[in-house]
Amino acid sequence: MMEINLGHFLALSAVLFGIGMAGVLTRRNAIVIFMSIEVMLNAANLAFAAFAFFRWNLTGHVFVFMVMVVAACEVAVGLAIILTIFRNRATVNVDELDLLKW
Amino acid sequence: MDWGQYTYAIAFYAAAALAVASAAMVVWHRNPVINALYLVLTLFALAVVFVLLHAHFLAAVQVLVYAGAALVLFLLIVMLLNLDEQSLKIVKPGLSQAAGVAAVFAVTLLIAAVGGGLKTTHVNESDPVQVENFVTYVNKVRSGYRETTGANRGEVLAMAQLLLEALDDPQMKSNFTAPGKIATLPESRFNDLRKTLETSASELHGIEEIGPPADFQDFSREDMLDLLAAAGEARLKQMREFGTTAAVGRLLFSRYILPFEAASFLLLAAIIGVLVLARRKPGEAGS
Repeated sequence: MMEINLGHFLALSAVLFGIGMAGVLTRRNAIVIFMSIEVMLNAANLAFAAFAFFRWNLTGHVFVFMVMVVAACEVAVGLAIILTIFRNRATVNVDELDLLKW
Repeated sequence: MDWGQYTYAIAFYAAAALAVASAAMVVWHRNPVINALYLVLTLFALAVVFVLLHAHFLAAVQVLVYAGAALVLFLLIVMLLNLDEQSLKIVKPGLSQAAGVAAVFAVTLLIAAVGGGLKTTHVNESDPVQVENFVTYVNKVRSGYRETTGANRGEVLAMAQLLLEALDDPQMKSNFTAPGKIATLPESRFNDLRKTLETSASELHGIEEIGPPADFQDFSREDMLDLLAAAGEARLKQMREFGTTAAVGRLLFSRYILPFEAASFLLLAAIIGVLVLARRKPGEAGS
């Protein structure tokens, strides 16, 4: 119980990923969905860092760095898209945005 | 159980509880501003977990980039859009199925993570203290041997690098963990060991600019012990500076220079993309 090993970190990562996934699937506000995606990305980062530590291999840290770069780009571009959608449709609710629905 | 382990566990459980609780609030709270603030809390708690994992550089970047820059962007957009009450209704139809899918997924991950993680890896295997003991032991055994000048420095460096990796591999490790054995190893077994080193060293050549692949024919037991000591010391140094900005930076600017440059290009593309998206088209009415 008191000895913290890889399983504990991976369990935390899995719980955070599940919470983020629940957010993406259940919320309708596009901005909150984006925040949930951030939580999921961070859960993945945590798994990378945990494996890096327990294998004494720094490559995992480089991976986390790359994920952070991609996340930063994704936030910037995604929020710009949301802003543009809001200008055109006056809503950010994903269930009202059905322009591409067949 | 020593005191350090105890505080480590307490720090981990506290940070983990905070991260999970605030992540739950990110998902469940109605107000997007509150969501964003709870996301900051989640990210800070994860920065604490990063520190516990000796990822000091990542912890700093987490606070600077995520909590600092990305969250400001989130808050800016939330406040810019100023969503009305009607649009803040919490859930889409089909909530229960979706939440069920997420729950099943999370539980599966959890079982896999705990089951696999508890079984396979123990931090003690690569404990710096153990490596230190290993180096001391090798040096003790080595002092029983006379100094040799046979192997040239490039070879020793190449082999040290190799043994460094070998120390991580359980299969190789069983060959190397007992330096005392090398002195008394039967000739055939010693030759196996030499063969392993020879084949792997050719892969190593060219990666680290050390020189031509060494000829291992006259590689003696004394050389092997020298190498073990060098490898152990190098490994120890590597472990001591694990996760620092210097260590991660050295890796980013050497082996991972191409991904690093690609990342900078990606950021440039994102900047241009955002500018194009946010710009008003000529002729469009300004508000």
